Formats: sequence, structure tokens, C-alpha cells
Amino acid sequence: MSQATLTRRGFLKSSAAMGAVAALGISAADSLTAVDPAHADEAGEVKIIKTSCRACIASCAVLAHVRDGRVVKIEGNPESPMSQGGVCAKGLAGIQALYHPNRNKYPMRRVGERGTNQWERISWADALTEVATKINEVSDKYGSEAISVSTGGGGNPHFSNVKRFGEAINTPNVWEPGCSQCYLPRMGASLLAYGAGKPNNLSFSDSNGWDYYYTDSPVTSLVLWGTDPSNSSVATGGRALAELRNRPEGLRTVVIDPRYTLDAAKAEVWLPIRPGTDAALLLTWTRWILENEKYDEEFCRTWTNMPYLINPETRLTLKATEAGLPGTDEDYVIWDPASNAPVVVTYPFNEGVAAPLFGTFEVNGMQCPTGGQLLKESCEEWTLEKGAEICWLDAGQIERALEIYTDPNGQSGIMQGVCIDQYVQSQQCALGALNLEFLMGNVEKPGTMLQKFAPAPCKDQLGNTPRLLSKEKVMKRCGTIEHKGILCWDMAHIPSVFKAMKDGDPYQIHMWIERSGNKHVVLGNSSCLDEIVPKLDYVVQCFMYPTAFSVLCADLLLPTTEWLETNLTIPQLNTIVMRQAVTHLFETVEEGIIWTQIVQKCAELGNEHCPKAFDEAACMTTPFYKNEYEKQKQHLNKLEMSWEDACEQGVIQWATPEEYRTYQTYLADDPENPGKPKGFGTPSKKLEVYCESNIILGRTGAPWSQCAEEAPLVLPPASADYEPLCYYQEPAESPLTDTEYPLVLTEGRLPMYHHGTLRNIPYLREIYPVPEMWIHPADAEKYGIADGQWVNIESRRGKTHGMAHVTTAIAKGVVYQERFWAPELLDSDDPAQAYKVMNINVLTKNDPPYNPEYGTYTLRGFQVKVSPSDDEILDSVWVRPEQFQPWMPAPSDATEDVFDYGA
Amino acid sequence: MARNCIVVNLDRCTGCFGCEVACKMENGVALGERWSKVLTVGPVGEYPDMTRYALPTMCQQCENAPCVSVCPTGASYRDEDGVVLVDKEKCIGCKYCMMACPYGVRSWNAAEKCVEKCTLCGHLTSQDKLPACVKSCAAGARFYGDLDDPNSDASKELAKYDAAEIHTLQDVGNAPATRYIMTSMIGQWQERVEPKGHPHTAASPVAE
Amino acid sequence: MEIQWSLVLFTALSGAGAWLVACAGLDAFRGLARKTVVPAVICGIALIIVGGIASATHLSHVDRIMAVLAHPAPGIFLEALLLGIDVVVAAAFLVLYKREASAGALKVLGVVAVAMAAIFSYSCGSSYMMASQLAWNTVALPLGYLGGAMASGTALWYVLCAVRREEAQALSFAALETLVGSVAALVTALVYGAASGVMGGDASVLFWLGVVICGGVAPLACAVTGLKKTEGALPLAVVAAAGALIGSVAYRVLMWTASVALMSLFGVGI
Repeated sequence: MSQATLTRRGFLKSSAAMGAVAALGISAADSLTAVDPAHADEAGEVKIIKTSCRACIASCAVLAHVRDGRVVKIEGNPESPMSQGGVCAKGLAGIQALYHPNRNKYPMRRVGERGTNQWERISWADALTEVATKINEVSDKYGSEAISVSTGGGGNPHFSNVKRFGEAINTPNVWEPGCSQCYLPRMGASLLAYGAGKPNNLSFSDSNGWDYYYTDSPVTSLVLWGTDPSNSSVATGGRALAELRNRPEGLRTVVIDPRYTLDAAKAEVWLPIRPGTDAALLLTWTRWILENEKYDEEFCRTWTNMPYLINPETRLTLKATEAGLPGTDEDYVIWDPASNAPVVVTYPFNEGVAAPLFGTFEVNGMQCPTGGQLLKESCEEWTLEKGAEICWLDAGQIERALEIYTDPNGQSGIMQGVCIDQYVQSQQCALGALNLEFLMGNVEKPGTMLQKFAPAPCKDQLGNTPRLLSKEKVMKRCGTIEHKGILCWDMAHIPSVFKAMKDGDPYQIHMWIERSGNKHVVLGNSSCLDEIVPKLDYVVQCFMYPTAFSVLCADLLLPTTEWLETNLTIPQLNTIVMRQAVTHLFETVEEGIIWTQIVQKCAELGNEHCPKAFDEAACMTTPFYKNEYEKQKQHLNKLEMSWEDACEQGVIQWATPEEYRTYQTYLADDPENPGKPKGFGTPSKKLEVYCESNIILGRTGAPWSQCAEEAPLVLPPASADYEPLCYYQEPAESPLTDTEYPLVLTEGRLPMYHHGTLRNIPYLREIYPVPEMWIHPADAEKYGIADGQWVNIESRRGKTHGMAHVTTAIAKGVVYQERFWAPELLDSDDPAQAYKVMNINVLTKNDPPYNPEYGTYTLRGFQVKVSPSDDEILDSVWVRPEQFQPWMPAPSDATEDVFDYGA
Repeated sequence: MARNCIVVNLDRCTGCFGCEVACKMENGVALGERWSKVLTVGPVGEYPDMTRYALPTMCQQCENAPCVSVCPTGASYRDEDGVVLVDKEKCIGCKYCMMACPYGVRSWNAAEKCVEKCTLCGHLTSQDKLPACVKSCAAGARFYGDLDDPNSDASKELAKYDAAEIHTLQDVGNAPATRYIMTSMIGQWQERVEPKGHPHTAASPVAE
Repeated sequence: MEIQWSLVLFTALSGAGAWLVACAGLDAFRGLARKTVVPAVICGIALIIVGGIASATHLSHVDRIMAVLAHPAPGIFLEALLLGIDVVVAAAFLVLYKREASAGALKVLGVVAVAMAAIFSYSCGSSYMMASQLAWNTVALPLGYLGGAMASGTALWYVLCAVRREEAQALSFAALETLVGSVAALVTALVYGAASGVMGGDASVLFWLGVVICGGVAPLACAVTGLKKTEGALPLAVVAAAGALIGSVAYRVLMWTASVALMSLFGVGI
């Protein structure tokens, strides 16, 4: 550390006084933290409070031991049916996060230039007035779409509230770096093809696969496709797999991952796939299943649209009117081999008609293939050998995996991880994997991944208010005419937002309100912010502690709560796990309360749109809450308990496991159509193997486009049709052709961190102080890399560093490194190094090509090169455990909440 | 005498490092020091026959504990329940026990200038609570109890497995009590391993 | 492991001191070096005590040292006990010698002094024999401790005899004693080098140069020369003693640097 740094750090001492200037960074406890050293030694009575962790999305139930208002211990609460008393390193270190000496404690206003890290404390009243005034000014001057709002998955967020906030201040430009790059593709594909929403898709770590939390589930094998539950959902998903494997009958697993993860190490077959080629392997599997007739023919005929004839002119299912048959333009058509003629589908199926799944038939002068036929053609070239060649796999091992997955005596399922959400083929991979499950009939049976179990009476996400936005505003949402899939989450396309911020195209965005940890760590090609942020007039950040974004970009910092200071209801299987504030520190405020306070202040200062956010008629759904009390009521929803009673109980069983585990819901009687089964939530009530809904989405925005005036709102078509079936596209940067950057990069979760968070937690950083760059011994030798050595990693976007871990746990030709940053460099002479020095997202791509549906950019499966490094900056990165001493917790007494509870 | 110890089921362990943090939080272990540490062994072998597993380590509660026999002051001792402990008041800091420990799982408390180690959370077990690492183990992979008591959690877990699936770290006459369960699902048990060294958490087997 | 200099100096100095006393004790049988016995015993006692003090600097809580005496056990207690006994034996020998006690009594104490030197210097090494330390867990290790102490003790005796200008016969006998000591050092070092593998490992340079050449070959060559050449014995004796002490220290240093732990799972250095 330079002398200059040390001197500046000294300012922290004086920041107690309102208005005094301070730097945010690496310092030990400053005088803002009212620490009474003797306090911790007092033997007050310990109260054990049931709450739940939010160090990651798993929300494991914990017991917080509180003595004299201070949290002294965290342990697992065995009452949760998911985590069963387990807590991972992240949760156990919650006290270090809560009492981190560098917590953002008060609203802070930047003084001096951005990047100089000089701040003054201001009051919440001043902060709210300042933000609201800016919002109103920008809205009046440029239009409210000139304000962009963002969030992220790390650091105790509440996704839907940020959308409500955007809608309340009348901007469509709300976004988060997950979304198109995390979870939305898998969820969106499931909505379109399966007709089932958020909790019903192939993502296990986003808390799906409910049946697998019960050891009596008849599941016999699982395919972990680019997912590592042991790392990404340690005490829930990881635990569930441990329990299933540990049954007397065990659990056979296949792991498809470039890394030999600990889940892979327990698998019967490990397929170390080349990053970016998942679609090729999905097509290979599809072809093998069709060719070897491993699919469930009866299920496919009855419950998928495989036998439905497709109109080659519209590319959509052939309708009765188009076939010249009696019926409407909503009636589907199949081929009847007995009469050798097309017949109209009588829902649920035509008794006695063995409609072929494959084949092309002449109807009304058109050559109409079945949906199944088009599926078959889509994978025709993908033999085992071709798949093996493209994916860098062994054909024999692929076949072994397939035999496990299709074992006729077993029940299998696919868990599909985030990897496929992180490059151009996101929707294709999601649809491709769903189709494997559909072909195998792995739908809502005991032991299948896809389930629609009974919904909990409470809500964790409150939902947003998309119909607050007028058609004019919706049409101005950046990038969503081309990438309509993002409308599923009512969000905007990040590269398009950035284009507006940077180039004023199609209009200039002037203001950015950001709630998350460190956008520099999680955004693709994050150095692009260097050019973008100077174009912005005003940037607000809400978070728990300062990050690179705070120092480099923010003009105003609003302090948010840690999970130990937060209230929420969390559905977990047949229970509800309560999160309750066990303490409150300084002037931190839960983000939802910040949002509603800003909206109320905007309204008070004359914003005409903002009052609508609190008006049920204008929202056409539950309006925004005004305070914590109303918020809690909305979360409790149909749970007929007071908040206090619910918290007292901590883990509430609202149904027995038997009542909760509702299988084959599509066979249940349809109340709107008595005597008929409900079917699936697609237009055809069938599983869309041939996903025509994807085509319709691209052409019109249905089923997700809506606005204040219209629902559905028909949008102009995208530049090209979205494809109804999975296809393979070689990554834009490919090892097959790239000679300058020869290695493929992949990322992947670590069990002790979540997203960009927790790199400032001493007990976690000492375990994993710097990111490991895994490289195969053959590649290490080729590029002169020794184990334990710092390396340069470079792509066409930039350069960063990692510490080499030479291991056969990574596929040849592939390197692996996870996102990282160095909070210790925030208060240095070059704070940008905090995010640049060892952050893989300096290398990732946010330029085209994008996924057509969601605009997904490329975070994995692009090209890098590596070389040994002796860059001087690496000496400033903290590696030795004792270096983290300044971040050890500085416990302090609880304070009153900043805003009224409201009851 | 009772043989209280931790039993770890490596088939279940996911390598999350939770036990390491639980231990540090519970016992206030300083940065850079630890009573419990998770290593990741391997990969060993060639694709597709490879072995890699997490190996949580801590005091192995040896029956013939060398640390106790070499201690010049009796600071390292075995209590009435057979638990190997350190009486820090008696430790003169000769580090003889650290040399004698076959596994290197004793820790030097730099602040107090004495040796310390896993206590099996005696302050908790004496109140019928579980050791912190066992209580919060995210994978349900850790079990505490007396190997001589068939009703202990540790014994009950071991009883589910064949002898060939139950392992100890290499025994050089010290008779470690701690048992590791690992079946062929994971691969080949490595009885002697060596950490790569900080900052990596990986370890490799040592060829005999 | 880190080189524990306190412990290196402890066993090197105390061991040499014990063997110096032993040489003086042996003189009770021959009576050749009457001018040297008293300064030798005083030097011996001083070396033993300085070594003992050096060992205490290794401890972080010397204040609790009395706990050692309350806990009889092999290792440190035994070493401390033997060190104490050896000092008592040396002091008793000195007192009796000064008071010109009977030759029989001196001979008895002389034998005891030799035995104590052997037992003490061996025991200091045997404390390190432990199953956890693969390069230490051989009887060759304490034998090497004994050998090095013997070579340096006898060579120091040789130096003192030369300094005190003893008769040729005395010098020649001192050279013979040094010869025996250095052969012991050489042989035990080679045996340990082979048994532990250090002769071929990373530390082979230190082993061959420091332990074998300086600690064994050099004093041996000086001693062989000194058997006949009693004129100008001092330089020979000094070289022999310096070599033996360097070898003794090198051997102990080598023990730390070449240690092989069965496992060091926490990766904590000592």
C-alpha cells in the first residue's frame, strides 16, 4: 500500500460527524461503529431466533443466537425440510458480513470526482429528496425511460420489487445481469413448451426438482447437465443429492461439466464437455433416443404435439381451417393412418387413432410434416461420433450416459445448470433438454424433475405491476422488440441499455439507480462501464458495503440491510421458512422500503405517475406497499397468521408432504371443461416438443407482452423467426478456428461465495483468497504454467489474472475460473484494479451475436490465452490469512428502524 | 475408555467448507489458524477411472495419542471421557506434540503462544449438544459419538457400511479413532495425502 | 520444518560438553592430562548449561517450565533430568578431583561421566524418534546425535590438551580419543544418511559437506595425523574441533530441514 493510500484511509476516523468526508474501503472499524469492547463479554441471556439465511438464493433455515441485541452465533435449524439443519460456509459467516467494519452505514453523497472515493454522510431525508428530485427532473426533461434501474442476485435482493419500482417511476428500462444470462432462458422455455412457470423447469439450484428432497422419490438416476448443486445450492440441492445417493438403492448420476466437480467425482459417467457445445450434445442425445426407440411413444402421442401436423407455410401447427377440415383456426390436425387422411384433434386425444409421430403427409396440397418429424430432422446429422467430435467427448462414454438416462427399469431426470443460460444458445439448450424429458415421458411422474406441486399460501416474490406502463413506454424498452423473451421478466436488454447510455441510441439514458453488489464483477465485458458511466448525470447505488461500482460510478450510496436485518416469507416444499430481522444496525434500510420511500417522495414532489403505484385499479394487481407492515401482509398472502406468530413458529408446515406432492396435475379434471383433463398450460394443452410458441413469441411478443392499454400487446416481429427446435451453432469465438486465443474459458460456482458477494469476508477469503485458474497438465506444460503461479488470462476484451491450479479435473483445451474481485484495492491509488485484477468478466463478451430470444451474451465458451504473470499489481492482492484482519467483525448495538413500521 | 470422535461420511460430504467456518466461529479461531480443515484429494487416476473427494480433517482422537505421550507437562492429555485435549494453561509451547502428531492437525495459537486443537466442542457436548461442525454440516455427513457405544450417532452410521468401506488415515501405531466412510461410488481411498499448500485447498496422495 | 536453532544449539553444545567431561573422566584412569582436567570439566559444565539455556529459549512459556518436572515422561523431562545428573556428576568429579580424592572414586565417577555422556547425547536424539516423522523415526538418528557429540567433545578435549601444552603422550591419546569420536560421528552419520534418505535428497550437499566432510572426515584426518605428530598439535586440534562442531550442528540442522512428516494436513510449519 502506498503512503497516499494510508493517508486517505485516515479520513475514516473523522466520518462520524454529519458532512465530514470519508473514504470507503478496507479500513478497520471506524468511529461510525459504536463498539463497546466490553459488551461482548457481558453474559446476557442468549435468545435463539428462528430465521433464514440469504447469503445465496437457497434461503436455508437458521437459528440466530442473540445476546443483548447482538448476533453471537448462527447454526442450522433442523426444522427445514430442505436444509435439515445444515448451513454452509456462506451462512455461517453471516456474522462477519453483518458486523463487517466496512458496512455502508448511512446515506453517503459523493464529494469530488467519481473514482476519488470521497464521501460525506447525509440524512435519509436529504437522500430521498435528492433522488426523488433527480427522478422527477429527468422524467420531465427527457422522459422517464431515461432512468435505468438495475438489480442482481447477490446481496439480499428482492427481484420483483425493483421491477415494481421501475414501473412506479414509469421506466421500462429495468434490468439485471442474471435474467437473460441466468435462469430466464430455462424458465422461459419451460413456460413456452411445458406451460409451467417459475418453479417448474429443469433448474435444480434455483430450487426446483421438489420430488428430489424426499428420499422415497422413485428416482433412480439423474443427469446433472452443467450444474453442481454441491457448490451452487450447498445445503439444499447439495444435501438432497447426498441423501438420494445415500439411500440403500443409491442414485446413479451422469455429470456433464468441463470440470471434474465433486458431484462429477461421485457420478457413474463424467462427460467433460467443451463449453459452448451443449446443444450439439442435446441433439446427439435426441437422435440416439429416437433411433434406439427409447422414447415413451404412448406419452408422446397423447401428451405432446409430436403427432400434430405442421403447416410448412406458417411454420405453425396446421389448423383445421388450413387443412380444409371442419373446425376452427384453433383446432389442431393429426394424421389418421387407418383412413390415410388428416383428422381434427379432439382434445385430449382421438380415441382409436394411432397418429404417427413421424412422417410427412400431403394435406390440402401442402407437404405437412409432423412435429415429431421436424424434431427427427433437426437432429439427423448428430450421430454419437459427430457429437463426440464437436463436444470433445468419448462416444462410448456418451452412450453409457444415455443408457443410464434411458434405463427402462429406472426413473431419470435432467437437472440443467446455469451454463446454458450464459451463451448465445440459451433458449436452444433449454428447449432441447425439455424435449429429452418430454420424449422420455419424464413429466410429473413420481421421481421426475418436472413437477407442479401444490403452491404455498405465502409469497416470497410479490410480483410486479407491468400494466402500470403505457404502450409508449413499453415500446421504448431497450432491445425487447428483437429479444422478446426478456419480456417474460418485464426487463430490458443490457447491451441495448448500455448502447442508449453510451451513444444515446435510440435515446440518451441519463440516470442509473442500481441495487446490487458489484456490477463490474458480474456484467459481461464489464470494463465497458468505463465508457458508459461518464455519460450519466446521476448514479445511485444501494448496497450493504462499498464495491468497485460504488467508488468508480456512484454519486449517492444508500445503505441496505443484511439478511439478519430482513423480513421475508420463503416457501420450502410443504413448509414456509420465515426470515425475520434479528437486529438492525446503523441506518440501513431494506431495499423494498427504499424503493417505496423514493416513489412516495417522488409523488410528494409532484410526480404524476408515481401515485398510481399505490392504486390497485391502475396496477391491475396488488399495488406497491407503503411500509414494512404492508409489505409483510403481502408476503403472508393467504397464510392466515400474524407476522409475529409466523416468526415465532419459524418453520410453518402448511400441508403434509402427501398433500404437497401432487403428481400428474395435467390429468386432473379441468373445472372449465368438466370431464376433460386440464392438460398443460400451453395453447394446445400439450407439451410443445415442436415449440411453435417460440415462433409466435418472436412474431408478436405473446404470451408476455402487455401494457396499460392492452394485454396482450402485439409487438412488431423480430428480425428473424425464433426457431421452434434446438439447433447447434458453433460459438462465435471457437477453438476450432482461433489460433491467437487457443483455450476455451468456462466459469462455475464456488461453495463459499455467491455471485460477486462475500469477497470481503475474512473466514471465507482465507479459505479461497484468490481465484484458481484450472488448467490441464498438458496445457500447462504447453503454455509454461506452473501450479500455484499467478497467470495472465487474456481475451479480445482485456486481461486479468488467476492463480494456476494444474489439474486433470478440467478438460484439455479448457480453462476454468470463477468471478472474483479484490475489495482490498478499493481505497488504493487505482481503485479500478479492485475489479480488474482477477475478474473473469473483464474478458467475457457482451457484443453480438446474442441469443435471438433473450439477447443472452457470452459469459462462457469464448477464447482466451494464458501466460505466466509477474505483474506488480498482484503484490497488492491479499492472499495470506492475516491480511484479512482489518475485516474482522466489529459488533455494534442494534438501532431503531429508519422508517415507520406502519401498523 | 470411550472413543469419542467425529465420523465423516465422504459419500455424503460435498466439500463446502462449512465445517471449517463453523469451527472457527464457534471457537473463535484466529485467521490463519484452524482446528478443522477441508482438503480436496485428487484427481487420482486416468479418465474415466478417476477419484476425487473432499477430506475434512481434524484431530483424529488417536487411541495411542503420540501428542499425549510426548507432552512434557501433561498439557496434552486425555480427559475422563477419553477425549484428547490441550490444557492451554500448562502448555509451555515446545511444539513437541505438533511434531508428534502423525497428521499435522494441531494448531499454534500465535496470540496465546500455545498449542490448541479440536476439542470435539466439549463445551457443547457436555450440554448434550452436538459439536458445531456436526450440527451445521450442510450434507449431513458428520457424526459425533463414542465408537464403543453402538447407540452413538457415529457407531450407527458406521454400522451401515462394510468394513472395506470404512477407512482411517494411515495408522502408524497411533490408532486414530476418526473413521471416514467412502464407498466405491467415489473410488479409491488414499490413506496418506499431502496438501498442495496455501492458497490451494487441494491435496494429492503420497506414493509409498 | 523450520530449523529450530535453540534445539540445534542445545544438543550440539550440551552433547559436546558432556563428552568433554567424559574425556576428563577418562583421564582418571591414565592421568596423562592433569593440567587439562579442571578447565575441561569447567568448560564441559559451562557448555551443558549454555546448551540447556538455549533449549529454554525455544519455549514460549518458560514461566511454566516447572510443570515439566511435575510430569515425568520421556523426551524433555528425561533430557532435563539427564542434563541435571550430568552436571552433578561433572561437579562431583571436579570437587573430588580438586580435593584429590581417591583414584578409585575418581575412576568410578569417570566411568559414570562417560556413560552419562553417551546416554545423554543419545537421549537428546531419541526424543525425536516418532512415527509421525518418517526421516527421524530410526535409531540411527540418536546414534548420530551421540556420534556428533562424541566427536566434538573429544576434539574439544584435544584442543584443551594442546592449549595446556600437555605431554606428547597425552596429546597422542587425546588424538586417539578424537579419532574414536570422529569415527563414531562418521559412521553414525553415514548410517543415518542411508536410513533416512537424506544422503541423496535435497539436503545432500549439507549432508556430504557439512556432516560427513566437516563433521567426520576432517576431525578424523586431524586425529590420525595427531596420533604421531604431537608437535604443533593445536592447529590440528582446533581444526578437528571446529569441523566436529560444524558437523554436529549441520547434522541437527539437517534433521529439521530434511524432516518428512507422515502428513501435514493443516500445512502448519513448526
